[in-house]
Formats: sequence, structure tokens, C-alpha cells
Amino acid sequence: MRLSRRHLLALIGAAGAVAAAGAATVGLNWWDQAADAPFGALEAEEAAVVRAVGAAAFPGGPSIALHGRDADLDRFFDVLLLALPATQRKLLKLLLHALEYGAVLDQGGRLSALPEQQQRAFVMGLLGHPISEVRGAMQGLVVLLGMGYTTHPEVAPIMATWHRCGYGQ
Amino acid sequence: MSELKGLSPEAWRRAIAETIGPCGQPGYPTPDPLALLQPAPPAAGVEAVPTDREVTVEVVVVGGGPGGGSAALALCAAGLDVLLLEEGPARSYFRKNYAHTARYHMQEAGTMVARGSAMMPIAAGRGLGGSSLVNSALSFRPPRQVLDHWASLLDDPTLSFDALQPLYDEVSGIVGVGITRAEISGENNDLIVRGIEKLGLVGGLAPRGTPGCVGCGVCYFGCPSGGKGSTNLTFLPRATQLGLRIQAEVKVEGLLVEGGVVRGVRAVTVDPHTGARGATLTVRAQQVVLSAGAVGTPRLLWHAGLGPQLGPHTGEHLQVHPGSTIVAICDHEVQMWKGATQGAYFHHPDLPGVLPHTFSAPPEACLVAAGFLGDRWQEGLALLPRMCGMLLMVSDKGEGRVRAFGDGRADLVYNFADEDVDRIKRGLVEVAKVLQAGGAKDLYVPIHGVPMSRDPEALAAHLHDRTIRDFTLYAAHPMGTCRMGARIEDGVVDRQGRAFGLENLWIADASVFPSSLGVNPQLSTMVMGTRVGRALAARG
Ligand SMILES: Cc1cc2nc3c(=O)[nH]c(=O)nc-3n(C[C@H](O)[C@H](O)[C@H](O)COP(=O)(O)OP(=O)(O)OC[C@H]3O[C@@H](n4cnc5c(N)ncnc54)[C@H](O)[C@@H]3O)c2cc1C
Ligand code: SF4
Repeated sequence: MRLSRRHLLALIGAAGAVAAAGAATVGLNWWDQAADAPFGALEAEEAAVVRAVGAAAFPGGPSIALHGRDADLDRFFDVLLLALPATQRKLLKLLLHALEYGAVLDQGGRLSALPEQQQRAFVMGLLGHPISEVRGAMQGLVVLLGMGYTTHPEVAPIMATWHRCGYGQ
Repeated sequence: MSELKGLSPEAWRRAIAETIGPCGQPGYPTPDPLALLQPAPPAAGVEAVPTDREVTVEVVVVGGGPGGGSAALALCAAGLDVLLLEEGPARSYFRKNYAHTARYHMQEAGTMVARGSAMMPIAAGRGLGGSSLVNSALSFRPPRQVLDHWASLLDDPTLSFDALQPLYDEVSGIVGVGITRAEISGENNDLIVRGIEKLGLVGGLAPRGTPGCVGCGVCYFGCPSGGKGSTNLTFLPRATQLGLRIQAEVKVEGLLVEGGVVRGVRAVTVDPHTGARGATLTVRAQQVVLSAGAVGTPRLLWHAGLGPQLGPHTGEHLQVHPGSTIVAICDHEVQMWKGATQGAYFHHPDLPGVLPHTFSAPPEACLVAAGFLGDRWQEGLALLPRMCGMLLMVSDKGEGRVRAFGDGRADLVYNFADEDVDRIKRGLVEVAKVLQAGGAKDLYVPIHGVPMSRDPEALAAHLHDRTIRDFTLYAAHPMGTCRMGARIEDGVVDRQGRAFGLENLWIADASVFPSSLGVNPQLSTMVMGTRVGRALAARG
């Protein structure tokens, strides 16, 4: 990924910001919109990157069946972006573009077009990246998407069995 | 608490017992929630300022956290006409996820990040109650050595440990400090207590200002039961009964200054849902008290262009009690989110200035911290019920500074001292030992290059070469950025909290501490707020 240090610093701030500022989703049924409904803030290409990161980080399985790919995290992210100040929205979109094209150098293809295992290898690689700003930005983005995933109506009731006050009880 | 270095074992134990205060003594009465906690105070929101307006009061207080709330109570008790302005919402918007909390109740929506030796998010709360809305209400007093150091530094015996204890008693009584009750402590705290006992360390269930706690484990979302003695349920309602008026959803953006004298503040309404700016509110006041917190106060001063006027220390000396965390997996069920959020602590004789206590965070944050993502996501989900955690913070030697970006956001820098990094690493090893003695097995630290470990010594070896840039950091105790000093060459405010550089300006929040406390700062902030409020009122 060819990002300058200045950009990286800005990105981690933005990613951290969004990780914390996902409140825009509350009260909105982001998971319950038609697949072809227009996005408010995301371009289609950016939405595909969000879906790829969700799929890479949160695969479905025996504990919780819902796959991150199917958790409508692009909708979650879209609503969230809309609530952010313009600078942070721009930086986050820049991060998505960096991920999309960074994968070309690392995995030989755009992130959104890679097979899931390669998407995962790329995302996990960034989560363990030697540059702390890259790790931080990726962690911020994943924590944020994790909020979307864990509050999805198929997941929230399961989370509620562990986290009484936090997820619907 | 590096000042605790070199004490005899008995003196060391005594010094730690003093940080708990009388609530640690046998027979101390359990705080009565019904007597202490009161309904949140009435506050006007944006709709009360539909068009540009100007008002005149005797004192305006900026910020409704522990510092502003306690100062306002002291001022109202003295019969002054006080208006408190708060940027955050007029009421609490506690919901069921952190995202919601961040939007309504974190300053800059939780986006403040310090740069410097490493990227470190810095958290501060927002709303009537300030950070006490989202804190865990751990309620320690600073050790004798810290306060006595302040007294000698400022040549002011009224700042000594003994002199300040009546004030600590008073504020502890208002927020209802008591030792975490065993029936609501929960296994996340209990296993730490077992570990402490097994290893013969000093510590146990911690003092918290949560008289009505039902142990739901989500203090960081805001207390859904209303059992926490946060400022909105304690100081502010008491002050409104004495005449305090509160205008929330109003952000102070500047001070009215005429010839070196502060005459009031300039504010703008902020829609709590959209953040949209609305009408302006000009408050003319005889005295102005800034209590916007250790980030918010210098951020406001620098944004208003007044930093230099208040002297060379404005926004300097940012300290934050940095630290790190261990998330561990047990063989038995812990249910991290059942029981008091952070209710246990310990001290280690070889680690002066290190205060480890219980860790808890939303599940997704715990899983990211422990690295359970991708192929390990499902495994992590299955382990959630068996997860426990502990964090540690250090009384920092490192420091940073606060300025303001052009758009008013905080521009933060923090640089670690090598000594602090070393103590964090050594502290993590002791935390690992305690967790394992209490029943934990697998130890995960959010530090790049450190694998899961089952052996504290192996953890020590892995930590050895790590630099601070390998750590995933987080800090929630900003302080010291407008510190007290004997002269403008030493600090921003005098011993009473009065600014050196401008007339009629006072500061009453965590920014006035002359050094890092070494214990969680809410009680000390309330003590300073009360002290400043009384000093101002005494001037007549
Ligand atoms: C997540 C978290 C956990 C914590 N846990 C503990 C704990 O367990 N125990 C403990 O002792 N301490 C804890 N703390 C720290 C403690 O809460 C703070 O030290 C204390 O609240 C500081 O009080 P303050 O009045 O200085 O500032 P704050 O509490 O930050 O209050 C400042 C207020 O000013 C308002 N404000 C800021 N700028 C403006 C402006 N321009 N105009 C109008 N209003 C403004 C803010 O919205 C805020 O409400 C924790 C803090 C956090 C964030
Ligand atoms: S643990 Fe729950 S009930 Fe107790 S103070 Fe925290 S949020 Fe309130």
C-alpha cells in the first residue's frame, strides 16, 4: 500500500473516529433495505470493499451462523458515514480505496474481486501489519464493522445471552 | 505513585489503605442510593435558544462534568447566581451499543487521538455529568505522597493529604463511595480477588461511587439502572435545588475579553442529533469558570486564541495514565458482562505507580483486542462466556500537550517515557500472574508480535523487545494541562484555580492537577472543583 505517513495518521484518526461514532445507525433499520436501494454516502465500489472486509473478519459458523458478507455492513457503514463530518467521511472513503487498490499489490487483485480466502489473508495481514498506523486504522474499521455485525437482528439476541444490558435485554 | 517507592512494607500497606479512604474500614455504612441519587436536573436544550440571545449572570461555568458540577454546587451553596453551559445533550441518551454512546456522550464522538510516540485514542465524556456518565466510577484517593508533593511544590499546606481529607470525605459522601458489594461483583472481579489472595498481594474489591449498582457491567455505555453516582445524579441536582440554571446543547467557542479582563463567554447551540450549529448565546458574567475537562479547557483556550495570554503552560503537561490490557480465557464461565464493570484492583510492591484493575469492554472490542478475527472469529465468539480481563495504568512520567485545530477539534500529542513503558510491561506480567492464580489460562495482550501465552514468564520474554508502537493503546484520564502553579512561570492557575493571565477567569477541572495522580481522577476532580468554587465564592 503506497500511502504517505501523513495520510496514514489521518486515516487512523478517521477510522478510530468512525469506530466510535457509529451511532448514526441507531434507530435506523440499516439491515432491512432493498439490495438495490441507493446508498447515501458510499459509491458502489466502496460498498463492495466494506462487504469484503466484513466477510474477511466475521465469517459465519457454529457460534453465529450469519456471515459477515451477508450482514448488510455496507448499509450500516453508509448510514454511519452520513452522520460524520465531511473531513472524516472523506478520509474513511480514502481508506476504503486504499484497501481496494492495496490488495492489488499484495494479493494481485482488487480487494472486492478477490476470493474470500485471499480477502481474509489481506485483511488479517493489515491487522498484523508492522506499521502501527496501518494496524490501528484496520482495527478501527473492524471494531466499527463489529458493532454493526453484533447489533444485526440475527446476531443481537445471541449476544444478549452474554451481554445482558448491551444487546437487547 | 512512584512516590511510594522505598517505603517499608507496613508504610506501603498503610499508604495504599489511605487511597481507599474510610469506606475500606470495617463497619463503614453502605451508601444509601435512595438518599444519595436524585433525578437528573432540569436543563434547557437548544430549543430554549431559538434566536441569538444575550444573558447576564454572576458566574458562568463551562462544562457539566465532575469539575463543573462540584464547582457549581459550591458556588450555588454560597448564594451566587450561576449558569452552567454544557455542550452535550440536555438529557442522557443511553442505549444498547457503544456507537450510540459515542455519538451523544463522547467528546468529538470518541474520535480524539493523540499522536507522538504512538497513536493513542483519548476518551472524554460529554453531557450533563461529563465523563462520569461513561466512567466506571472507581473512586480512589491519591496517595499521601502525591498530595504532600503538591503542597510543597505550591508552598500551600491546604493541598496536603491531611488537609484535603475532609474534602475527599465530603465528595465521597455525595457520590456514595463504597467498596464493591460482593453480591454484585461478578466473576470477572472475583477471580482477580482470588488471584490477589493466592499471591498475597495488597488489593481486593475496589471502592466505587455507585451506590445503586445492580452489576450490569456496562458502565461505559452509561448506567442504565441509574445506580451510578455520576455528576448528573449527584452534584448537579443538588446545585439546581440551590438555584443553578443549566443550559445544555450549547458549545462555548470563545471568551469575551476586554483589556485583559474576562467579561463572559460566547457560545453557539449544537443540535444533539445532527451536530448542526444554531443560534448564538452570549453570556455576560462577573466571573467565568472553565470546567471543560483537561482536553476541553485548553482546546477552548487555544481555539479562542488565548493560549499564549495564559502563559507558557497552557495546554502543556498532558498526562493520561496510559497502560495496557490482558484479555484471558478461563476453563470456567466468567460472564464478563455480569457484575460490576471494573470492581477489583491490586498493588505490587515492586511496581510503584502501577495500578492494575478489572478490564471490561463490549464483546467485539474484546475479540479484536485478543485477535479473534477471520478464521478465529467463531472460536472467539464461543469463548466469550469464558473471557476475563484486567488492565493496568501507570502514573505517568511521559507527557504531551493539547492545542486546537482550526475547526476547533483537539490537536493532541503524547510522548511516552521509557520508564513508563518498562513499568507497563512489568505490570502486565504481574497482571498475568494474578489472572492465572485466579483461574485464567490463555493470556492475550493487544500488542503486536506477542503471541498468546500460558506462562507469565514467556509473556515477559515476548514483551522484552516490544516498543510502545507495538501496543494498542487507549487512555481515559487526561489531566494536568492547565496546572496549578505558584507563579505564571510554573502554571496556568494559582493555588485557588484563578488564572494568572486573565482577570476573572477560573479553571475547575482535571486540568489543574500539578502532576499525574496515579489513581483514577474523578474524586480528585470533584475535590478541586469544590475547592475552586469555594475560593471564588469567598472573594465576595
Ligand atoms: C471511559 C472512561 C472511564 C473512566 N473511568 C474512571 C473511573 O472509573 N474512575 C475515575 O475516577 N475516573 C474515571 N475516568 C476519568 C474521570 O471520569 C474524569 O477524570 C473526570 O470526569 C474529569 O472531570 P472534568 O470535569 O475535568 O471533565 P469531564 O468529565 O470531561 O467534563 C467536561 C465537560 O465539559 C463539556 N465541554 C467540553 N468543551 C465544552 C465547550 N467548549 N462548551 C461547553 N461544554 C464543553 C464536555 O462535554 C463535558 O461534559 C474515566 C473516564 C472515561 C472517559
Ligand atoms: S455496573 Fe451497571 S448498574 Fe453498576 S454502575 Fe455500572 S452501569 Fe450502573
